[in-house]
Amino acid sequence: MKGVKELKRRLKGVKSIRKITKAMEMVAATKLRRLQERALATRPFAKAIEGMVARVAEHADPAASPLLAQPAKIVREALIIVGADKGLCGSYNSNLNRAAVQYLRRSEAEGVQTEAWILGRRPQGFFAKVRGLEMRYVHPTNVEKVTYREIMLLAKQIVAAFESGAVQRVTVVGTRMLSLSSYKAGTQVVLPVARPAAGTQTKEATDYILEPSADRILARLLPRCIEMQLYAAVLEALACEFASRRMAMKNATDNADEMTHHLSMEYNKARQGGITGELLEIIGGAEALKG
Amino acid sequence: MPNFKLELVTPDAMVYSGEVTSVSAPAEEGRIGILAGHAPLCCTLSVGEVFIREANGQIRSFVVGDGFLEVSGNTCRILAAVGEPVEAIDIARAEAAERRARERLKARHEQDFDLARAETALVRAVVRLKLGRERSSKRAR
Repeated sequence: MKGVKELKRRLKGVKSIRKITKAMEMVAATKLRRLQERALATRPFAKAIEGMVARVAEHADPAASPLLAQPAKIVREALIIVGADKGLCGSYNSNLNRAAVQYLRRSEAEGVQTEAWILGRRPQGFFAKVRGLEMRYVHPTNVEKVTYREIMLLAKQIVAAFESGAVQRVTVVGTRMLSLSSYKAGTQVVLPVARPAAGTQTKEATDYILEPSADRILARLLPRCIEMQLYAAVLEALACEFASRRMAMKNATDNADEMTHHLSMEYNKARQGGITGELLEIIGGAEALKG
Repeated sequence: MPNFKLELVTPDAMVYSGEVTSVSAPAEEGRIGILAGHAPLCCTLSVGEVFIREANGQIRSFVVGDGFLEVSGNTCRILAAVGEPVEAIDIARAEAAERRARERLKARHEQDFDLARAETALVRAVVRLKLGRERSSKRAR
């Protein structure tokens, strides 16, 4: 009978863990779908505004907006880190941390100071311990509940920091979706706004009416564009997080299934072994009495 | 009249996309009208009403808040932070927004008060209300 009780206990444990991972998988799948829809809904606006910025910037003087000015030397940089609130999502968090630390070490080597603007509880805990990084902003609520308004206010602070000359570059570190099932942590410079390279001028370049004037349009357009880029980056990172969590939980559920299978085989064998042993004892006893 | 394509986009959705024959929009320096074949243009919009005449002659109107209008090629694009068909305006919500904006303006000495934002919010609420009420009184008649 040895081991049967123990096996039964383990089997029960594995089964209840499987229930939890299965539930988490389904929750992540639902949230993923909702976030993907939200991320997709922002696409037309993001695309349109980027095109508009490119066309207006092409016709404007580089001095038209402080957000277009390429600084001579970068002394200080703002790094916006977009991460998750929770773990249990595979290598999502560690990939993000690795990408951010790599970037940080590189800018350190170039003599750039970095301040961190953090969204997400996880990176908040991790980057508090990273050397050479000053915490400038920590998003007060859960990233998952993010609204456009919150991002708008955040973008305003970032633009103000750039305009005042406190930082000379703003970079986002986040996870981007490559396809529905593959994602990668990477960096993207949001400020100064990239100008279209010379020589790519469209044929409309000659007569483009700007009302009231290029600098006034840019003064309103560029902050909007940055808001949008940030919002898109956050939504995309969230979608990746849930895709990653769904995958991790699916693997956990599959493993639990496999373990349940092995354990129940073992349990059945042990139980059968016990019964056989008892039978042998009874038969042996009966034989002895007869004899 | 020749057609051209109009897209009205907000950060959350594509509010309108279709063939139209004319667009009238509240540009920052006065209302402008766009017909097919307009020269490339980019301008800022203030809060107000956008009228469009669809290819089948039907006139529709939208309320937009704080946006941009661009004409390039034979496409007109309106990007706005807020945009909705006039018939979708929720008067009760607009009234609440107006009250909120007025309260914010009253509390202007508090910290991190953003005058420009509060004013835009108020204007937006008032325009919404005006358009929404006009519409519902028209329907009542």
